[in-house]
Amino acid sequence: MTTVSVKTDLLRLPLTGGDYFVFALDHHLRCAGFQGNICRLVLRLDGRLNVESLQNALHRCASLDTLANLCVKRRLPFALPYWFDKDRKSPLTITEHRTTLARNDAFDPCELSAAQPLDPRKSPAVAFDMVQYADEKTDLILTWHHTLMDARGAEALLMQIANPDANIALFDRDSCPCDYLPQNVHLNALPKKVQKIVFARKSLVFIEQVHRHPLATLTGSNRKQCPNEHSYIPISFSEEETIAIDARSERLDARFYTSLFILSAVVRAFHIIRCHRGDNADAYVVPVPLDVRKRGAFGPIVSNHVTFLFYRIEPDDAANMETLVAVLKQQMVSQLRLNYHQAFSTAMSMFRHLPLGLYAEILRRPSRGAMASFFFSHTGENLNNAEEFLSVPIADLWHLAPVPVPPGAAVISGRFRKRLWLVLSSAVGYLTDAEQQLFKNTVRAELLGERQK
Amino acid sequence: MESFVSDVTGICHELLGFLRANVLAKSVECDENTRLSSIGVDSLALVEILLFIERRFKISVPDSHLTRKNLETIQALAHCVNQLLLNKKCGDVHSE
Repeated sequence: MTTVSVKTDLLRLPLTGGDYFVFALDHHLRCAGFQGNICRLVLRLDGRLNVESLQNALHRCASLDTLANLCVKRRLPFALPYWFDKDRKSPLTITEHRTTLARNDAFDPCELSAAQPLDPRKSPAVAFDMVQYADEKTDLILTWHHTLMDARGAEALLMQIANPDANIALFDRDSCPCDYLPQNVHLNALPKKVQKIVFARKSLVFIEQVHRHPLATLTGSNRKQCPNEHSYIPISFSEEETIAIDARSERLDARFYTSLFILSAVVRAFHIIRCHRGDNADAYVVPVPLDVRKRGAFGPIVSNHVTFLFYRIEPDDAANMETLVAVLKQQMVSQLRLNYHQAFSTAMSMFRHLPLGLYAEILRRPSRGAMASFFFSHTGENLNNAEEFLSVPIADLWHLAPVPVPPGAAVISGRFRKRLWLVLSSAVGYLTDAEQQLFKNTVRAELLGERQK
Repeated sequence: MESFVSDVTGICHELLGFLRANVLAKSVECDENTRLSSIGVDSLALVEILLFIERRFKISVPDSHLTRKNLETIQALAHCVNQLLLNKKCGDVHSE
């Protein structure tokens, strides 16, 4: 295992294809007037966590110094972008917010985002917020720029902070391949670089096909003048409800396709919203990230170790869960069988040489700017199902995703201590309160198999 | 019966080889009796294993065989694959 943790080795470690892909999305978000590709992980603690306790834990976590110093550089145009350790102590901020209110299920971190314009070109790209409620409860919010790490990396970082002896690697490129060669004997005679180009092109042709115009978005053709902010709607399920959801997914032959089952319910919810708007003619296109880390080990922390699968759902297929699950299963298996996920990973790796603006333009082009109908990600089992963080019991865990306009909406889901959760992120102004409620009700009803009232 | 057992052993060996090379982190130890869920083998990894079975043994595992029991360990999966191979062999003999 080549674990890089010494500062001299860290200098000029190239970004992964996944890192640069999310960096291009950051460019897209900034062009649309948003703050950038900034993610959040919310730990809802059932007790009070003091700033001093967190500060002490951060001081004990050696890798955090390096993490706070990392920034993205590129020496020459078209050269590979790389992580650069400034080797200068950057202040890592912990901002405490005190409120006289008790905590309830509602959560509105919009005001936090205004205070943290994180930029990976200037470190640090990580920050902490703590919301202290009147009823002795705390929300700990880890905010980071997506280029620095993915959701799994952020969870690994929290585990490292909670347990300094865990020794979770900061970097480990061996366990996360991103550059693949095609498994095609006819191409073996060609130089490896040419093989990679041929392989990457295969995925791009497929993506052009999937993203063909027109595709459904919540924003439609009218892009309103709205504040560039996000609203978040968490949907939580109890342990008993999660068992019922698993049983229903089993009945629909989707027990081994958890993320597809959840995605099906989300597509149904968006489809119903669009039907209510009288606009249900176009197909849904959803890119779904795939974790390429080797299984069984936690980490590494830095970098995005993902590739993508791309789904296209025609409106007729969104009529019921049974059809949706079958269609998505078929598309997933066929993409994995043809190695499109590896081909796209290779393409992302090659695109690292492009300037960000050009890359973002290439990503927008097949769908004429929309990129997707919405973004979706399932984060799997969260935080190793930890019971406590720094000796304070954890009540809930949510990931919050940024979303550009278009498409205007993203859904992120996961499972924490046997309880399923989802969070709908939407750009303020593109979903009415009634539509947000309809989304919540439909997702619950479809996952649980209940008839909507 | 002897050949049945040795076939299962061979299939186990191939499945473990694929698992170690393509799915699991180097630090993870596993053998044919390790519970797959305990070493982080999630649904996507299972699909990758099923596609490997399809490529290597030229059979597909039908949904009806994707039971909790069959996917608990590599040993259980190897028995399932072996059974499907035997069924296929019988089918081939009958069609001749």
